[in-house]
Amino acid sequence: MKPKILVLTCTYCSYAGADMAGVSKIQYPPSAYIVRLICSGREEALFALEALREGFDGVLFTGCHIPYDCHFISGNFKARARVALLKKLLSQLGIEDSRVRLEWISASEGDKFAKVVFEFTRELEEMGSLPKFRKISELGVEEHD
Amino acid sequence: MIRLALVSLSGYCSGCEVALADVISEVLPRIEIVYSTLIADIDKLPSNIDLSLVSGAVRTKHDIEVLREARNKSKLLVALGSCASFGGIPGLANVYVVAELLREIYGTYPREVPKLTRAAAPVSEYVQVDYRLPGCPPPYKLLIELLVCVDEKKPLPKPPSRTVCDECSLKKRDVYEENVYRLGERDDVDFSRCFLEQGILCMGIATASGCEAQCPSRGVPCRGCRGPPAKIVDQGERLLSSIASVFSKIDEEELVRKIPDPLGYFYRFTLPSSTIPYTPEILKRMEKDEGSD
Repeated sequence: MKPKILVLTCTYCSYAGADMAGVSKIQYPPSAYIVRLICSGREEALFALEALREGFDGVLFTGCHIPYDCHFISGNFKARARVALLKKLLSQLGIEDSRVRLEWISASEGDKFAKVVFEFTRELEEMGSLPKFRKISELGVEEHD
Repeated sequence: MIRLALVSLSGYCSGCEVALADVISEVLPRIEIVYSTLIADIDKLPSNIDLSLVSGAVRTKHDIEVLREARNKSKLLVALGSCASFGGIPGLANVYVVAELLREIYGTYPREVPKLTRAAAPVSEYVQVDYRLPGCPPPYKLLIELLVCVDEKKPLPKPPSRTVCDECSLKKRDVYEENVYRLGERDDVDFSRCFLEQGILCMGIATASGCEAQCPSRGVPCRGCRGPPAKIVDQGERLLSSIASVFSKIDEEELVRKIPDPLGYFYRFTLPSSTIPYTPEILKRMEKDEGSD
């Protein structure tokens, strides 16, 4: 199984970090689907929930280092709080909370970016994929007798 | 005169019918109740229904059949209350597979329980819904407005695009407490000030208006029963993301300790109509059942 990871990055640190991994020619698995957002404060739980429903195996939230690296002052705090609650929500829903991961990656940490994607990919390979979600009306009635 | 049918599905508490009883003196000249399992002794849905008010979530095979029949026989079908609109409180059972759910409730495996669907669902999951009037129970003014519109054949009212906070009269200072409290945990709660600013979780920020902020103005934080405002699909996620950013200065472990049940807080009324509407365990179980057939 080849995992698919949605990587949410912020413009000023982690996207630049991913770029650094690229220009330094560091090899990492092709499982990362990188989306650049303006700030980690824009990384919402909805993106993760929709990605998991639509067939992604994991979601990696990234941002500037805590506490005060964020270009917009407090976006990384927001991402941190959201991921904490999102992990709890997922475990309540019966989804492994390690499918969502938060990492701080600065613009110079191309090697860290590659390492994180490596590790996360391996973890998700072991975990296996989520079943494909269907509409509730297609689930039918459970025969219980 | 509206030929009115009150269709109560299994996941209902009859609170919506009580809400109708509340307004009955104002609308009685306009309605004729032709079907109701709760207040009339009629066991078959008549034909030519003008308006079906469906309450409760869809949970059994019987519900689906009654619902489809009601749809075929009525001109207008309205989801009344949060359960019919979004899945509501019975929808929280979607974190269990059926067998586990029954064991949780009855202890043993009951034989008399009707066949349950694998997950609770809002009415719109099975039939086309003309209008949704959410609320737990629905606000009486909106209920009167709806019945008058149907009776006078006017276009139905627009669903609200604003939130409870827009209607709320509590004072806002835009200064937030950097901690989360339960309502009983603080002695110094100021009931004329915004709850969220005092660190008490209030769901008004992502809940549709229309209730005139009845709960906050009477000293109870909003629980989000009116569901998401227009254009927003996943109310729980909106609440989670925005409340997380309000209290983002709190350390993550502390935050999860203070908000131990995000599913119950944020998805209390809308789990079956949210992005991930049920636990994937249900799908795994279903694949296993299909494999064994």
